[in-house]
Amino acid sequence: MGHLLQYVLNGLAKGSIYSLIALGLVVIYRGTGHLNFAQGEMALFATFGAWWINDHGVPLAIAILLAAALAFIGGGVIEFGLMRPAGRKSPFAVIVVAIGLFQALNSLSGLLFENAGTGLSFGTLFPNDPKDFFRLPGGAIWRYENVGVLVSVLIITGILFALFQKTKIGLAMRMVANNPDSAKLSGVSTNRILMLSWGISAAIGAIGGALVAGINANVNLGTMFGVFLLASAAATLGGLDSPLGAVVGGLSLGVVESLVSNYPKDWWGSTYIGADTAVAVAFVIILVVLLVKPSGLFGSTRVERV
Amino acid sequence: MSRLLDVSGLVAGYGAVQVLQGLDLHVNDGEIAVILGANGAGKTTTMRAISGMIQRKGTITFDGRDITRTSPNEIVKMGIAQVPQGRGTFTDLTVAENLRAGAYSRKATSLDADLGEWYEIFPRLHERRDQKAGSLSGGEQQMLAIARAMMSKPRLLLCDEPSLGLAPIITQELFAILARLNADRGLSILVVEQNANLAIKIAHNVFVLETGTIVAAGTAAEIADDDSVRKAYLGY
Repeated sequence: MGHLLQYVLNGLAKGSIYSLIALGLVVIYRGTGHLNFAQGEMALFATFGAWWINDHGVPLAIAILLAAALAFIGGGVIEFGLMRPAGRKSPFAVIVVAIGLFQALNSLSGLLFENAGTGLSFGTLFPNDPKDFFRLPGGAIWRYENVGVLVSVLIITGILFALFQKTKIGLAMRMVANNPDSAKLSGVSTNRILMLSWGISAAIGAIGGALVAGINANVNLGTMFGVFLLASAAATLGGLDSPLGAVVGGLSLGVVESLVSNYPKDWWGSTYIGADTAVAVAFVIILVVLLVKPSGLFGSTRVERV
Repeated sequence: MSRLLDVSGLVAGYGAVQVLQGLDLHVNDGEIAVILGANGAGKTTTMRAISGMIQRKGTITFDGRDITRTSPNEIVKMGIAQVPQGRGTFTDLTVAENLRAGAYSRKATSLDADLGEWYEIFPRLHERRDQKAGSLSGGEQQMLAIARAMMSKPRLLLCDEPSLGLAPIITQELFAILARLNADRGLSILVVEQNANLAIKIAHNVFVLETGTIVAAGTAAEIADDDSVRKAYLGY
């Protein structure tokens, strides 16, 4: 039992980051109906930005917040300058542009930051000395860093939910997500809402990227790829248009990943089955869920009575 | 009688397809105007052109101001609200949220008084205020759509085929409400309908639309007396 709790706790930290990136995907998907393939690399670029600001003597926490603020603006610019013109042509153009952006941001990071390929050392926001942990009953330990990541993600998620549910701008975002035509007819400038959604998504991504880099103590060109893969899986599992689904999907994939990469080792001493298998198992679970419930766990099935 | 909405030479459509070929119509201040027309005549296109949802040419003046190039959100702020075809409610939002959504263009600090007013007119909406709009019946959704549009405090209400898919008794109730809004508040209304018999009863002016142009126009009484219109649209 000690092991189980331990693996779940470890998985929750990673999973909370998947949730965060998945939330970013959901925010854009709800507004535009597109999966933003560049989400991970937008986060990566912002994380390099945070590293650069930090490297110039700004405390890490402030550097990350600054990078998130810049990412917010950058996200808006990407929507206005790239996605909106592409969207006027065709939905496929948007997908192609997003994949292009993915490649471009990754290459640009490599170009701008020396040694980005092998990695730059990245600090953490939370105490991560080997003895920095809570001891839980049953022998499991909960590292401060894992607690810190989980709590940060929960706070950001809470702010996001409050924005959606309690503010006028959040109401406008939900109006555009549910019925863009009626939103326009009610006086919402849908273009501005889409720009805002991209900005929010990019800012969330920046924080998610910085948290991943903090856990790895390193940021390199490959940092976000695996995270994006699992985050997009988490968003799909949750239903793509449901923020709650993104959170639940992310956390559960993190836990599954942790269990699958650890138990085989405990049981059979096998190291053949490791982290890569975890990704495969995660996708099998998603496949099964989507076969049973095609709209995902919390996705809305658009059934309208007339 | 001053013209609140004046449309002349309106040309509009979708991409290369032109649906409206130089359409003229108007709504007098404080009156109800009805556009009659069969499927595909261009009724919905006319509505969407007036509220700025599609590209249009010609001249549209509202309250003396040219709105031909104005964006939909500005047009709402100026005082035109549309109840789109098929209700256009926000199905994932609750009834109360739908009403608040309708007031989006206003700078009101509190909407409680306005909500209360519409709950009084439509008690069913009050009973179901915390339910998702998608779970309402067709008639209730149409009531919600009208209340939502009215939350923006419009001077002109555009209703796109309110009777679509509704039971006759609900349709009658609906038209009675529109007539009451006009009589009690001086609200100007432009209704597009296939259900000519009901619509003509509440109308002051009627326009008959065929393949993108107005082929007959006049007061409700004049149109009801016109033999060809009566045969084609009123069925007797």
